[in-house]
Amino acid sequence: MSFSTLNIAASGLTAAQRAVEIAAHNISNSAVPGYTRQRAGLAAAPAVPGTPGLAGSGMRGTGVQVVSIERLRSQIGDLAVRAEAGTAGSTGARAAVLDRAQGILGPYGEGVPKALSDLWGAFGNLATSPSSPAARQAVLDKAASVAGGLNDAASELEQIRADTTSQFTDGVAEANALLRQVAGLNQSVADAVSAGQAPNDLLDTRDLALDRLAELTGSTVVAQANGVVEVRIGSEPVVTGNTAVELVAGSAPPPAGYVGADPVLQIGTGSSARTVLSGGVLGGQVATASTDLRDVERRLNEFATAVRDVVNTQHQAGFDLSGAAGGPVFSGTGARDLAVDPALTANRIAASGGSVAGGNPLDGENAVALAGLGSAAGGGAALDERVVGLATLLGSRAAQALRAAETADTAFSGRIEARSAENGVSIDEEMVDLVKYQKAFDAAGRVISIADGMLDTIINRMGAGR
Amino acid sequence: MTVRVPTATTYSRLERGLAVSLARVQTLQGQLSSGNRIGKLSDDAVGAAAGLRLRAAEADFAMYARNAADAQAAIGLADSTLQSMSSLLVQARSLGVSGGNGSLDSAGRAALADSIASLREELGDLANTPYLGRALFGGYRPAAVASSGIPPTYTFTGDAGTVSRQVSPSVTMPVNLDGREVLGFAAGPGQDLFATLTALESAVRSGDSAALETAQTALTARTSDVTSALGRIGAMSNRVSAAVQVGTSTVDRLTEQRSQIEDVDLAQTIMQLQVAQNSYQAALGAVARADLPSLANFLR
Repeated sequence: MSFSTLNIAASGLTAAQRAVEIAAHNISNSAVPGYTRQRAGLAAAPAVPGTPGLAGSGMRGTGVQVVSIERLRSQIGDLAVRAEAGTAGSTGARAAVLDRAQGILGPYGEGVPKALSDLWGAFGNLATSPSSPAARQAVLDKAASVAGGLNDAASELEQIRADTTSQFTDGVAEANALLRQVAGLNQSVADAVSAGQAPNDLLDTRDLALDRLAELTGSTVVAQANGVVEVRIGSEPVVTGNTAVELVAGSAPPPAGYVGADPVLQIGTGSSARTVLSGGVLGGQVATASTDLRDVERRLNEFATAVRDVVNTQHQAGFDLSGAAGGPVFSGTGARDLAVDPALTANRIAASGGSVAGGNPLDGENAVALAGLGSAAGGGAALDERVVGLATLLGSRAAQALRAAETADTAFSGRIEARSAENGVSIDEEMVDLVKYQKAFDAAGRVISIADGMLDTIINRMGAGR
Repeated sequence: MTVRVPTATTYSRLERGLAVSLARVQTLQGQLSSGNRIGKLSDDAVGAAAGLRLRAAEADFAMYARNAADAQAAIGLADSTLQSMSSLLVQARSLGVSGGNGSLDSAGRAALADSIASLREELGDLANTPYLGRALFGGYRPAAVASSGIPPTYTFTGDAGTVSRQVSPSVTMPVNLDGREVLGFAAGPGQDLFATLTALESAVRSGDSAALETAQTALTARTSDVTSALGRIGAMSNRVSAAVQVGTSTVDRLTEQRSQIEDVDLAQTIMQLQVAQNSYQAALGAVARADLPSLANFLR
């Protein structure tokens, strides 16, 4: 009999206490985002060789020890989540922009298509009563609504671009903060790892930052020695060791003939600036602003100039109340500045089909032709068909983007769930652990009582002193 | 492999399920309360395009209907005017026949001649019948004829303008008649309706039977001009009526088609809403029961 039983039992008490502590830590953090469950890594303490003789030979165990605190997380889960995070981020950003852009022509059934129909109707009424000042004024008003509707569409489009750019700028600032955080955590993790520690909670914080970075920029992560990670956007390293690169929300000049600037993600400023091809929310915003919105802008301007040219050509073929040839109805260069020509007054509307000295106020033949312009194909599709084409482009793009975003979002949350099935805390499991270690603790305590009794027997009840 | 169910996952799943079912309920409620299936273009991009096309076509047909109504009014007025002119010409003819009766004395012939003169004046007024500012037989001009002198000489003051109306996508048709043909100005100088009546009047007044014969022959030709104008007006009226009929049925068809595309199918949507509400209630129930007893409840 020696005191080693007491030591063995004491190691059991310590290990059980440590394991209960870990269960308590898990339970406390069960609702913390990004927390990874931990587990006590228990192992038998090194055995000692037996003493041949009285007690017999054989390796004698010396109890239990906590060799590690394991972090139950797999890299595969992280890879899967982050790969999908980039897609979910970019499709979500595109859907948000296009969902808004589909409303630029006005509400369904109202807005530009209706204004255009109203203009044809006003020309039709003018054809019936070519000398009526009311019919002439109505044409002016309806033409102004068409121009106004297109102006609104163009300025709404510019507003969407501006808002997207400012969201992009905020996103870049957030990404920079995260990059600095990851670089700082890289340093702390490396310090802990080289001191032989497992910095589990630091790793959780860093993984959370890396998840958000992947969603924002589509970044990828490469593990390196000492628990350090390198973060890349595309092929460009943005965090190396404890240093982070500063991302810049730059702006690129618009394509020729367009207004406003396109957002672009850059590293460095001035002449050393280079563009980074990013995915994620930022990449989605860049791509949508510089392709989809530009495309819509081009189609809108094409439509506006088509309205201007088709209506002006027919109007200039007619003659006004005084018998003079008609002037332009619309002036301007695109949807932004389309306007009713300032020289066009009610009496200058060319309703007549023929020129008569002093005018022919009751000839409405050119108004008949103007009223039919909506469905007259002149140099391409008819105007009514073109405005439907524009609306269809907006609607189907938005619908497609929304569907893609929904699909990506479902996949993203599926992967998050799959990952958390592995690293999330289950209260039941922790309760079982608590019970298990409580029993072990109780039993180890009991062992100490028994060892104490045995020692009492040896020390107090045996030998010559009695 | 044991399936692990982390506690937080259970709750996030419930939360997601709740959000999805509620969103579905709200979408359907919005459709029901507005009656529209398409709120935004992206709700049904293809349907929205078809709906916009149908709306444009409906607006076009509304315009054709307005044009046709105007055309009907103009044609109807022309028809009744020509009918009146025709009956005046018949009266003039019988006055002329009475004037040829040799038993009449000069006072009796003068009375007949005066009647013919007043018929001519009446015809002049009818020829200038206005419609929306222009004269029915004056092309684009406000008056078809003007008279001067004693006995009055009538001159054509209208023009050859054709007033046309688009009454269907394919039909843009004239809705007036050339006044020169109706009133006989096309037949040559001195051959017009009014000159013929003046000739008849003077023949009756003077009792010149040869001149009376010539004037009656000329009057027959003018009467047939008016009769043939009536025929052309009738044909125009038929054409407009046909276009109106086609237009009305087309508008009904367009509206029906658009309603099928844009409007919610009430029965179907109500059923879908019921299903969605049931699933939302089920999700709510799941959340209410999500306070599952954990092992902690069973340990002392």
